[in-house]
Amino acid sequence: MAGDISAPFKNHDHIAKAASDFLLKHHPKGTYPIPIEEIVEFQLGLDIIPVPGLHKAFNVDGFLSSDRTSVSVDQGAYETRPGRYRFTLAHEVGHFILHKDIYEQYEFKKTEEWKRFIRDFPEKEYSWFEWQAYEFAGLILVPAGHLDRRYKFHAKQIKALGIKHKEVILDRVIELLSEDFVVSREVIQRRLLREYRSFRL
Amino acid sequence: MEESRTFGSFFKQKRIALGFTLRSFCEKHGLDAGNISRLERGILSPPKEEILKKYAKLLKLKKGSDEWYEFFDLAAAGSGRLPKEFMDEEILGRMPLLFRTIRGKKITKEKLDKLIKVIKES
Repeated sequence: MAGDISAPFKNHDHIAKAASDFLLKHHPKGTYPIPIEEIVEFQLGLDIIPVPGLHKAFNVDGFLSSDRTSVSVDQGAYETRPGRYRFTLAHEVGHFILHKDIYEQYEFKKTEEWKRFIRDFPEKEYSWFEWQAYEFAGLILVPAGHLDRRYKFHAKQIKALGIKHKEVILDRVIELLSEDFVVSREVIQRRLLREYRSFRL
Repeated sequence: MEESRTFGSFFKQKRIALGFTLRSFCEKHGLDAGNISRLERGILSPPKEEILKKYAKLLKLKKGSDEWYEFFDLAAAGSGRLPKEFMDEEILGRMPLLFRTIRGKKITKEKLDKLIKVIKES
């Protein structure tokens, strides 16, 4: 029963270790941006299925199938929004890696069973599952070592131009980092907060 | 036991062997990713010969090679079949397990029915 589900306890350190192990295994070259699409298709063997109107109709960018063989993604993001698309893939990989047990636990024979499961899923637990996948996605797309080096590099370059206003420097650094890692500004901000607690320049 | 090879699985295997993701393959050759995905998953029947020849070329199958013949043989075996129509129960494996309930609201039955329909068509 979905109502009995509780999210496994996985704190940031646990997720960081899982992300680091994942990158070592699937992207030992360590270059960036992380080739998440290639990892999903070639190494994890998942089908990526573009679905028209997924975001518009359901307000979701994608999801991992319950049999863990495919990731359905919003076709609009798939075709025109690389940052959003890449994060969706990484997020679903987070579920694939971190939540394997729950996926293996449930197999539905009737659509009514599946609908009941989705409708009864406890909101609080759902939030924990999502938080864990979000953390994992940020950590694999924006690895701490690269983030630290690129952050310092960009800050130095911008300061060298004579710009002194901290907010202006930070804004530009975030923009450049989001281009480096091909993710949104929000993902960069969250990763910076996680790594540095506060932004210091 | 090895699963029997289908046109779609052969297509996918060749695409991946060339180092293309579905998106990069379709982007490079101006193809619709949704259609190629359905073709690879066996939901769409193989196309007519003219388009098959184009696909064979894009997959770099050498004309007259064993792979070339296999490609066309598999297409012939799979052609003429009506596009597969799934029963609701048949696509449950493709449905999400973790699906957002927006801000604590219970997602409606109608919305879940709509999602099933959308997934069946994609």
